[in-house]
Amino acid sequence: MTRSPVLDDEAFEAELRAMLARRATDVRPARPPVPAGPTAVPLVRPASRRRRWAAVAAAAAAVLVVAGAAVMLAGGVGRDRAETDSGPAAEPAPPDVPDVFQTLGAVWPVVGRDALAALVSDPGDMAATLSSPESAAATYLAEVAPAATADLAGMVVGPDGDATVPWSSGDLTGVVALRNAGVATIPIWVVTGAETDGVQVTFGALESAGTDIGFALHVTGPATGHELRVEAFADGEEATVRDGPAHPDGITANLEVVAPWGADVEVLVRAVDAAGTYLSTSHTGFTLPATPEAPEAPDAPADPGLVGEGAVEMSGTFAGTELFTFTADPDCEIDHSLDATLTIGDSTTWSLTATYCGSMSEGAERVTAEGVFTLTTPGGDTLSGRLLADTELATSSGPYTLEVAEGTGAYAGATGSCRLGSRLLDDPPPDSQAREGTFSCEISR
Amino acid sequence: MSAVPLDPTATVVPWDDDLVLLYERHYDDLVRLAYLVSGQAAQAEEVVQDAFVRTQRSWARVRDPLPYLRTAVVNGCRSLGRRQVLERERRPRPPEPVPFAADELWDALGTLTDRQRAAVVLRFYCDLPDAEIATALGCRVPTVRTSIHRALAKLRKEIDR
Repeated sequence: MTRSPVLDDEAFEAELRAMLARRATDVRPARPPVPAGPTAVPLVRPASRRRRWAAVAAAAAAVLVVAGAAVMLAGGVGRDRAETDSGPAAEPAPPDVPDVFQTLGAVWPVVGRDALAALVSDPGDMAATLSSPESAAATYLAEVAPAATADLAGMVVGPDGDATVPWSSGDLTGVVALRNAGVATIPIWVVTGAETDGVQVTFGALESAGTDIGFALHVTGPATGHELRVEAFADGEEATVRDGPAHPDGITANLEVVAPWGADVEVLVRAVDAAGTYLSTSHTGFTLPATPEAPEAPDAPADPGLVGEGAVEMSGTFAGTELFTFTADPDCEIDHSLDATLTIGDSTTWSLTATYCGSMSEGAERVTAEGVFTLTTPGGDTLSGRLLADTELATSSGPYTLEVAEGTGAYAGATGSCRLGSRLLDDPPPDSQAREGTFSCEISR
Repeated sequence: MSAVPLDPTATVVPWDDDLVLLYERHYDDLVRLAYLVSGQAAQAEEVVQDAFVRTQRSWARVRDPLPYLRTAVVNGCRSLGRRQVLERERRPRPPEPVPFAADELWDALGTLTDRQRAAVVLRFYCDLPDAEIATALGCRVPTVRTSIHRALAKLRKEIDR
């Protein structure tokens, strides 16, 4: 059992332990019985499984990005699935019955990891549209239900970045649900669903374990008189949906989908009454992470030495040991030193020494560092300059950048940069860690 | 992972006996853990119940159920914590607190980040080794050390020792 020597104040530790033990008695758990009953929601396979989503899968509309613990929910519709947004509709929808929701001319909203990044970095009309729940909801309704009117005065913004905007169209009323998929300072409001005042189905507890995806459907409204029709697609192909364990509350159904790595998965759930009317439709989508890629073999080395003036690119692998010490110096919270070997091709090796100071982010998520380095060739020539590091603590990995400012010998006057894709090896002893990875350099003089 | 096909007659996947045993033996402890990590008594039981349901869902893949449950509880608490941050940002600034001496350290816990607080509770309440804390937090051992190191420094600063 390993415990790091994080503190030398035993009295403080004892006080902390005592306080936690004391406060633990604040709660008096009332353990409910193990849930044993079946879910109250009847789940059936849809009678017809039309391939209505294949065309839009490539458009990457309505993407929910699952990246570790970060989950962004987003709803979306496309030309081929305008009916998948919430609201009453018949199945099959008679062509002469005007739908509240219209066929779209464009995929909306534009959501997804890349699209969101683009919105943030390049504010434009869409960013302005999504900057407030009012404008996002109004735009959404204008796109999918031109006859509907948003009741912006009735908008409710919750404390956790959710919002609802009521809407009406004749006698029909409903709610558009939104979520801030951005941050407080740069909000990006996306539509996560829309519901009428019938049965409401919301997704929750979505999690991914490899290619197995679990999620919950929380159903509110009448407990009987409808069934849930569940369809799932992976890259446009039908995917298997199966029951998960019962939820204690009796109104939540746990379901599971299995999909290939990297697949765009979409799930459509409709509450349908005996007459075939959609009481509610909910939709979500997500992209499974790609299979971790095998490390790339290093490129064949270019000439590692500079002969005369010109530029050289080289790449290879590196391995070394990084020592670190916590300090009381606010300008150098974590003092590092690195001693590594860069291998170019199969045989040529350079040595790398560096010292740098790291600062930890407030949430202890990352360490950024800056310092100096020296690269030494087998012949004793050197390259030196500034080292910049950005390490994600969850994986203890991140790029190290070497900015070459000067050189000696054959590299006199050289400039350029190297990038080390550094990752941590096995759990190290305290204050020391082994690193390895690949590197590439572009150097000229 | 259950393999029950989606079918009108499909009903329920019963809990595995071992999970029921875990539920009976560790439910109370996990609720206390959830309370200490989240600081929210009202949500602690909900977090733990959800953790058991998630564990049941993944039961076939779970090799070490108790650490798995502990991780699920900590993750649930961190989700609560994220919502708390948003609430705090949107809430008018409260008057300067005048803490009771007996709760000074407890209040100081509230100044820690989610990860720091969880690491402190897992270390000083659950008395877990670094490796198990790292498992529960989904991070590496060095991250545990740095989190605890910074948390303790912050706690000491908060209570002006």
